[in-house]
Amino acid sequence: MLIRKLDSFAYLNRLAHWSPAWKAGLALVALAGCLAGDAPVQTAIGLWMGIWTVGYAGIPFKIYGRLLVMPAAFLAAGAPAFLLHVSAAPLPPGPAGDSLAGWTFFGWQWSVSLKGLEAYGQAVLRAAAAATCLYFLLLTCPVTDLSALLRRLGVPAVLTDLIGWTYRFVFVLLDVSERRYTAMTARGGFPGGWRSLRDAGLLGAHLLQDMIRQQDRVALGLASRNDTGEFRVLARSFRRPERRLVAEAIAGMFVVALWVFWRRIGL
Amino acid sequence: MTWMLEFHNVCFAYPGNEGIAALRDLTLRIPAGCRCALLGRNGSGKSTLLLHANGILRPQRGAVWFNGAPVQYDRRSLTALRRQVGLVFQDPEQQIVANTVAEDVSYGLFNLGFTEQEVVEQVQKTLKRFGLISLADRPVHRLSLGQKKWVALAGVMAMEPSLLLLDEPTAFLDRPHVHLLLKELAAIHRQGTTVLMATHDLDVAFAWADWIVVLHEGRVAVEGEPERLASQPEVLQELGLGAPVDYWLRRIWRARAPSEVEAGSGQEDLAIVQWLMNLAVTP
Repeated sequence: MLIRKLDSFAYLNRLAHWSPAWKAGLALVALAGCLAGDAPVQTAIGLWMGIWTVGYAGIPFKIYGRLLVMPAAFLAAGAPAFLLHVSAAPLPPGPAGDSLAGWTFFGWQWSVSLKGLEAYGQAVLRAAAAATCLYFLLLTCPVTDLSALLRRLGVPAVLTDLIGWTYRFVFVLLDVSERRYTAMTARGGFPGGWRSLRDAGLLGAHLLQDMIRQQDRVALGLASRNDTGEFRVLARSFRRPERRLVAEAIAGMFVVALWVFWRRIGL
Repeated sequence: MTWMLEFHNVCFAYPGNEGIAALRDLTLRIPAGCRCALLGRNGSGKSTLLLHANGILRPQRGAVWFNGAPVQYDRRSLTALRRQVGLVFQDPEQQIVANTVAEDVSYGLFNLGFTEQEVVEQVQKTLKRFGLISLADRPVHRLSLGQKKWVALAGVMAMEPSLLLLDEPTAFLDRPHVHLLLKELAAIHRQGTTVLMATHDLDVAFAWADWIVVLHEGRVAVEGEPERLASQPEVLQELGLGAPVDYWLRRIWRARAPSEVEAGSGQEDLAIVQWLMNLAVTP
């Protein structure tokens, strides 16, 4: 399952022992650059984050590519909204009408506009570049480290605990659902069609029951170890990052900031 | 004799099951420093008894005593009790609450009010003792069941309880892991911890305990030293636990063919089988 793979990479990548503050800082500066910068800046940031994720952290390109396809699918689904213009009256061709191509269906004029194409290109580039920043964080930083970082940054304990619990329960439920799925399949479940849909509903209903039962049992487990209401555990210790990579990160962040500034202000 | 844990006429029924009492007027004393096995069939009240011993459940009638004093159920008293009484659940998923091994071992220590430095030291000590150093930063969902059980035990032992309660610790473990666990429990006992293990595995109970309590339908049916109970196979059979074949087999083998082989180990199993095979082919 992809979620297990992603989690493994977060723990086992070559940057896993870096402080999450470093990685989050780098990803956030890059993300800010994506949001504030224009197309060349966004392209450069997307490539740079790719180098960090695949080259430095050692995430296989195949997995990285698969992850990038996901937002691409969403963007492709939204393409008609950006590209197609529908009107009752025909648009004049050429720059004045801003129409690249047009067709008439059922008495309506359908056209692809240059502006729409430009807007779509910008949205795709921005989203793809932003996704590379977030994937860098997702693939190199375990959720536990991020939650500890948020706690250090003053985010209320109730929120960080919730993140930790959700993360832990996702895998517990994944195990339970896999076991139930296997047991149902072994008895001829999920044969396809409507019956598979019914079996999926059954699995979902059982998962809900399992979740409630598991919650009760964990509450007992917490009580047996003197639960105080505050979920406090030891934070991981981190290694000092390599100097060369730190230098590159800092230099890169400066370049991004200057480049965005230069493109925006025109200095 | 000093009694570490005492149950005086304890009655308890789970809400919604008032008609079926889990513990019925149960009276029991566990001496300090013993290795006690709590035997019984499913539903005999073993887990309920352990939850009472840790203060999670409160008797509806009767009283539980720890170290010569009745258990009080205010927050401060329960904290003090749970510092002394550690409970390891059957399912480690129930007990492991943090995301990584080291985090989980540290959880109980913070609850006891240890400082961060003390927690770091105690976690390191515990991880080393249980051979978990290399897994310290491993997320718990990436561990095998055997490793999870080990982490659950380490998380409780980090709190250095004087009474360790274990609910079916050998459930779902393979034979080498069971042997390893029993060895560790023996080591824990040697260091002065009283150990109370609930199990329905007759062989495990007889191989490990120096005192056995058999529960049946929420009451103590019979208790005593393993040798005495093993001499009453018809009683054990009647209580649905089976006969202690393994106990007698090992005892006879050890008396007839004493060897350097470690008791309860795989080598001993093999040696016994070879001895039996020889007996079978000898006219």
